[in-house]
Amino acid sequence: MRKNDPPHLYGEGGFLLCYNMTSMDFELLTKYALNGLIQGSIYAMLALGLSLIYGVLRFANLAHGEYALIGAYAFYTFHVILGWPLIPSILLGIVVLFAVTIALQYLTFMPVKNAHPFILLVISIALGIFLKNLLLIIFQARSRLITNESVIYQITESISITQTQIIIILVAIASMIGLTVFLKKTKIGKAIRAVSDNREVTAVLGIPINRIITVTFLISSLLAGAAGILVAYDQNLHPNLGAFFTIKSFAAVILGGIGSVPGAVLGGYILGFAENIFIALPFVETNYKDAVAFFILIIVLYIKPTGLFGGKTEEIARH
Amino acid sequence: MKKSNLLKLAIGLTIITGLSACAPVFEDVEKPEDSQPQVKNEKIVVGVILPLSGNAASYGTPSQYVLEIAKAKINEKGGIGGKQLELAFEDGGCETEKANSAVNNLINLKKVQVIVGGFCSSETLAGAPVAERNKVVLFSPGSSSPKITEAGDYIFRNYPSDNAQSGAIAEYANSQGFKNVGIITEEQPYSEGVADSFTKSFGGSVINEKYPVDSTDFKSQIDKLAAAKVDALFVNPQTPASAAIIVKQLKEKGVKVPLLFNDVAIGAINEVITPFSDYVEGAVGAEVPYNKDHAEFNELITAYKARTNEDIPYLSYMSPMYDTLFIIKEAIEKVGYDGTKIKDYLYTVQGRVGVAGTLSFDENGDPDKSYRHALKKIVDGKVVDAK
Repeated sequence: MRKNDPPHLYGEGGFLLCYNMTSMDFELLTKYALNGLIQGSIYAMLALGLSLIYGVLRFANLAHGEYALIGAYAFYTFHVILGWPLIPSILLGIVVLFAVTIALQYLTFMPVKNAHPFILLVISIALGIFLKNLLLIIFQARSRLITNESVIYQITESISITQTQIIIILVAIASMIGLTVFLKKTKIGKAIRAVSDNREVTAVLGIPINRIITVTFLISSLLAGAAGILVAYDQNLHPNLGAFFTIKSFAAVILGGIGSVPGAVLGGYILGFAENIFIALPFVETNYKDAVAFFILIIVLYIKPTGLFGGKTEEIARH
Repeated sequence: MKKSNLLKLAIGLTIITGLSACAPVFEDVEKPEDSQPQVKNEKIVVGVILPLSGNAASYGTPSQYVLEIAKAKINEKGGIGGKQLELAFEDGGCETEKANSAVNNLINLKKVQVIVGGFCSSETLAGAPVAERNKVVLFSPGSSSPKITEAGDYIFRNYPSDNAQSGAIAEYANSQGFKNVGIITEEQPYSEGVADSFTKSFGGSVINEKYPVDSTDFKSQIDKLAAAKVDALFVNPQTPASAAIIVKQLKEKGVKVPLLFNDVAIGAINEVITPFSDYVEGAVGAEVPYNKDHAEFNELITAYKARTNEDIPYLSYMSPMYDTLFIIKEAIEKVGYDGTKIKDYLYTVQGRVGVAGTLSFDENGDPDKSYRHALKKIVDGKVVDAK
């Protein structure tokens, strides 16, 4: 709803004929890219956990966003409600999240771990609804903003970034590298990969499947919880955010290719950048942020149905 | 249970859950002819729709307390014509669907003739057609969308339209010589109404960036407006929670243009003004004035504190809220508990002095021009009258 758009952007009919790149401020583009990097880092962290669970149990955990929120709300309880220092609050938040993850895993997913993945998917939907409503009862349906004084770093005169945002980017990068090294170099990591590859054969070889599933859930919830805590610290916290987290991470995983670690990361960043960079175009309204991201998802899936890093279609269908 | 049976059970449960989620929220059942207004057992039940859940509960819940304080006062003094007043609260959630089913519940199940609310414009606009068709008065003490003016004969409000709010802010923006104002608007009827009427009254150009409800990341919107070199930035959310995130991110982005606030943002003392007092210093907005000289004004403030142990927030919303119940009481005492008669009575209300100010209804059920937003400014972390 602009009264006075610069006339050179539009042709005679009022439609955009061409877009002059020079008119797009380079500095502005940098700002958008930075916003995309921050948001993409959050999506990548969430997507990594979702992708990992898919690899081992062959289902998309649609309660993934709620796991992120449990970590975030536990952190919020310790840090803001009880007023404890930052680091112990984060650690305790993760401890609470781990306890909840293990409890939920044994109560819900473990009894049916050998069932069709569809059952697990349905259970995860129910679990997501249950957890969201539990959070609504405990923390009420309102936003919690941590009005912290995060240190602001001025990169140029008009480009700035907060300390929390730098931490978001660094934690995301560390998670990716850490997870890759863990999966490739450690015994448990190799076992997780083996289970992802073929659970029956791995079980025959004597690898404790239950333990591997538990470890996978813990890593997944650690990544989700870290993302949740960072979002709580940088943006805000609301019991309804879970669905937003799940949808964005699910989209990132599909975009990157289901079950692929680098795919999940790439998917997360593409989504983050797409949301923030495309709205730079003057004819794209900012309220179409989400629409633009999902439009890209549709285009990518149209060109490559298995996602950017996905295996062959038959391979996915086989599982 | 066999695996295949388990699968069937799961699919069955999913379908049942899915279907049960499709309850007819939009049902608009005309009330049966034989239904009698609710005056049983010497009680008069008045319906209330407020956002009691979600972010808008930050003004919905205080509104509930204020109405209960007013109700207690009315009942203490003998009720309405000797009958005790009872309030039936429904949660409108600041959402169209919820408010629609809330109005239906109140009319069809509770058989009310008058409903106080909604608070959000989305609630009032959703409830208006149902109330109108059933000849039930819908009396909003907080909705300000200009669309409510035309919403129907049975729809009243004692809160001025946003044309007044935006007019006052636009006049200020014009007086400051602003040529280009950026607005960050939540996609809700209230805030969209504010943005639209501001755009009409403001002399310069406007860039309006909208965001969906529940957004938490405004960084790119802020960058876009800052790059457009706006002379001022108009923060136009539906709830204090979004106002707080926008202000936080504006501060982090180091945006240093004059700020304009809608009445949600400037009323958000605990969420915005106090935590970000340094940053919001000098921001200008418009609020509906309240009548500090009224005998009951201090009574309301003391009663609220006694009940909740907190200071009363959003006085410019809570004052009309308090008055509403007394206006309805007077109406019922004059003409009886009947929607149509109360509607006719309300159009005759002229120059009624209340906690919120002097109220006269115009032909659309809106307060007349004497009852308008006044310009406010944030000085030393406090909201004061702007000179």
